[in-house]
Amino acid sequence: MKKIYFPLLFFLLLLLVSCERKQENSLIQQKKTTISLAYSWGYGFKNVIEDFKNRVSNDFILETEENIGLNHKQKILIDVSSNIVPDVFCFWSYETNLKYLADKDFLLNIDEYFNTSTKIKRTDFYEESLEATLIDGVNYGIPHERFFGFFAVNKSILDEYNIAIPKTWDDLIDMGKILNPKGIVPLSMGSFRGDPGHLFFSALTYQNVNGFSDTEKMKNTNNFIYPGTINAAEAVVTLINNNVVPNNTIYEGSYDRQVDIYNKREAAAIFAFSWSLALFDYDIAQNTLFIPVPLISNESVNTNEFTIGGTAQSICISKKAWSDPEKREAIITLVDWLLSDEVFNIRMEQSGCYPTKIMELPQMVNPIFEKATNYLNRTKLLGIHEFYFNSLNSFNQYKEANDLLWSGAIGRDDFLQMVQNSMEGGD
Amino acid sequence: MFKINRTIRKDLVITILLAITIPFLTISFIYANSIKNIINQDVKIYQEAIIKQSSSSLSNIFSSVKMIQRSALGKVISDYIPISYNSTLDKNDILKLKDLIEFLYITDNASSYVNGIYVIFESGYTVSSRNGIREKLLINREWIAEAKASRSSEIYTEFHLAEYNVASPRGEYDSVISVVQEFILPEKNGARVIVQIDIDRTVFNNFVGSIENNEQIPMFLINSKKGKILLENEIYSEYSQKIDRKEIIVKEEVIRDILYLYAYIPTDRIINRFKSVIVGILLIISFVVLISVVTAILLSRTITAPLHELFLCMKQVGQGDFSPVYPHTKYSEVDFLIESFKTMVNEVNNLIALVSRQQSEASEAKFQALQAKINPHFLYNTLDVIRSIALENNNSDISDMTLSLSRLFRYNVGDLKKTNSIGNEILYIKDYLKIQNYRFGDRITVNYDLEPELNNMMITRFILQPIVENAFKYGLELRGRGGELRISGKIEDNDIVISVYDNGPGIEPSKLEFLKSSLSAEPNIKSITKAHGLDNVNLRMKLLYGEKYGLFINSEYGKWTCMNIKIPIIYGEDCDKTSYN
Repeated sequence: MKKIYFPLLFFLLLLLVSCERKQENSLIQQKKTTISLAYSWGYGFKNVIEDFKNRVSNDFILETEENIGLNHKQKILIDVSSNIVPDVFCFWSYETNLKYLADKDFLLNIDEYFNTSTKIKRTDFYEESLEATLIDGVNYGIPHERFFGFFAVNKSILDEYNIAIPKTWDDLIDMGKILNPKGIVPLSMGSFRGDPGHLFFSALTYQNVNGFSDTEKMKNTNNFIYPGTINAAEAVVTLINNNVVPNNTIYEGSYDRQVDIYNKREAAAIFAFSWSLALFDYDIAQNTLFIPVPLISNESVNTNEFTIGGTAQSICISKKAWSDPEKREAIITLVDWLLSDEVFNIRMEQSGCYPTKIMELPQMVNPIFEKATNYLNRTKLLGIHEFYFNSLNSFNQYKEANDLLWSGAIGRDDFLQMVQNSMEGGD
Repeated sequence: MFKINRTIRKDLVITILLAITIPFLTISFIYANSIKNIINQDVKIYQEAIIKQSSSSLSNIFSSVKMIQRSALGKVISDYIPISYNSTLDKNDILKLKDLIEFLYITDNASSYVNGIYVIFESGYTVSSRNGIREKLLINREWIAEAKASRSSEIYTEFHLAEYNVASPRGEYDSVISVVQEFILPEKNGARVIVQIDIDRTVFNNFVGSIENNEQIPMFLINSKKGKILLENEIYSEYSQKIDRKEIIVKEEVIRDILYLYAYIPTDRIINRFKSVIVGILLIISFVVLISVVTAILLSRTITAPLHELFLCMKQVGQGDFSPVYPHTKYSEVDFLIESFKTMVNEVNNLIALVSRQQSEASEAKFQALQAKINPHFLYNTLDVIRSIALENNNSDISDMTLSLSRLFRYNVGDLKKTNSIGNEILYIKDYLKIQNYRFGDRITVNYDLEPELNNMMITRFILQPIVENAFKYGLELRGRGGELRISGKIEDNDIVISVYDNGPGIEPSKLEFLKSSLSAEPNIKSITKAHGLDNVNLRMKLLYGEKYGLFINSEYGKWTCMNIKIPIIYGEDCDKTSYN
């Protein structure tokens, strides 16, 4: 009789052990660290993030939130107002954008990350890119994207209508006279929330001999009205008056829309940006020619030697999250991955964002990348107005003013005064 | 007919099994029946609740979208500008337009359901919550025309790709359902504006993937106006081919008069659920039966083992072994049985020994009695004295006769069971006949015809002589002159056959039959005790040689009698050393 007890007891014991183990597993599951990431790298990156989530799922849980473009900026600023920020997030670089968050003590001095990470070092990055996150001698973000603007024309359209490559503002106006009747706008440009008009405005400002130096001084002088901005605003008004840009720049005010009408041959020229490179159609890219920005009347700086650019977004780490020992390891794993060659290559392929990390660029199929890289290598980058405003508010007013200027709602002087007022803390 | 070999152990096993399984099966049956009722009622109610929940979730999504649509419309009305692509807008208009777009941006961002809000003005000018749109691709879609034609009715499109959304990467346009409606703005001179809200497919993931549908109920959302299925969950997609009329159909309203949720509660699902319960119960029953069998076998073995051993013990005794090993037990009742049996076996053993001894003694006495009948031993010495006197008186006839008689008696002193050679037996017969010759003179002629090799073959004593004596007594003595006695012997079929023939008066047929019958009867104790004469000889032969041997008589009444003695061929040294010679 006794013999039968042993198998029965063994069976019951097995049941108990398996139940116990299940409970343990569920407890382990509950104890996993959760960290959050907010980014604005477009839909294509979503799959990459999901793949990473699966890879680290045994170590921690990654919650992500994605928003497109300025919606992401708006989301972070709302978070800041609510006194919370994601554990790791992308944000626009330079003091204009970062100071507000740094002053509120949300951001980690990223040297703490560099000192802890075993995979990423400060020296992995271009020094000028690191300067983009420097506020009072402290880096509050790890630069992630180098960007630049470029002026390009669709050579096939110009050839089709026997138009020479435009070199001056007058050439652009003449292009409009030929192309407008054909339903083609000479230059794809718009401005909503300042994009992309305010970037082109900087490029125009720097055609003035003192344009860039005056801009660099803005933070100290609180002066927006100087020859470069005056001439640039006047040049914009000229474009509008001569139908060189689309009639409704509010409607066309997005990087996607800008490239979309260029791809559809509804625009002959474009002042585009490296983060839009992946949007260019292959055929259009083949016919695209990178040229110097046509020279504004009365300006003398050689536009073949410079373009606007700098560091776009940086990776920021929440100071509060970093101080949590349970989260720190997960944050390091995440940021190490975000700064890996793998992610930089994907970002380059998906959008055209050039790495801030010193590394070999990936080989790209679309010829626009090769043209852009060649252009970047031979051209000097000058920082845009955004980097030199004395506050985020004045920068936002600058973008608002750009919308009104490009839409034709206000003229040169109103535009200049509007921005100047914001610089001085007025309306 | 199959014979069932019943044993106490088998009966005990069956009894224990029945005692455990019958109550258990009864309880299981009641339990299974209860489960069936629960499944039929509660599960159906539960499934209907899930359907209501799904319907409610869908309704919430569309209600939220409807709210967003209303608020977008409110913003359009409050900041209305009669805009077209060719409009020249003043600062105020631009600010209103920017406000509207910002509003759409914020609203789109705030709702996880929405994947684009589009406001299409009468002129075709379109603003959206997305970074850019391809307006021509949008305003030429069929649902825009349908919205215009349907006079302010809501339109729900099927899933389509939002190709008009520039912000989406090429080839990766989002799949959306659009809720579209045209509104007339009375305060704006009856101006018309279409508001389209795109709902991302992923919003319906929970419904389509049946994530919250624990019961995996097939469901689909139908646009009743178009009669087209808008959404179906994966279970329905797999199930739609198999649906039959037995299914229970549940219909829930999602949007009044437009969107309805249909769900099937498959009856086979309920049956399958019940089946799974039954399988569980059967497994438990099997387990209980297995345990019962093991328990019953082990218990019955413990209880019946002493009885079984006692049974084997009895069987052993039955086969003649009266020294079995008796079992030991802790049960007093069985112990009593064993002790009783032990006493009984001992008594039977004693009785058998007694009977055996008595039989042996009786048999020995019988032989001695038989021997005494034909062994007048006391005459032997007397005859020797008579012979001496006859020789002294020169009476040779008396001397010879006395010698023969003396040898006859000496021969008779020997053991009946001893054997002698046939040759010696014939010499004995000759002595006997010599005496008879003095009695009958030349009235009787004796002839011998024996094959020579028979002389050395063995025959038990006192077989041949009584036969010859009988031939004289019942044959030749009754005849006058011319009597013939013929003794012949031969080997026939590997047996010895010695014939004693006389031409006496023979035997009457009825008597002959009686004799034949008597001689052919099987020997037994009764016949041994009662046998005389021929029967005695015949019985001895059968006891000594076997059933097939003995005496065989034949006769023709009034003419002759012949007695055949059939014995086996035995060459041996087992002859009487005091044999006749």
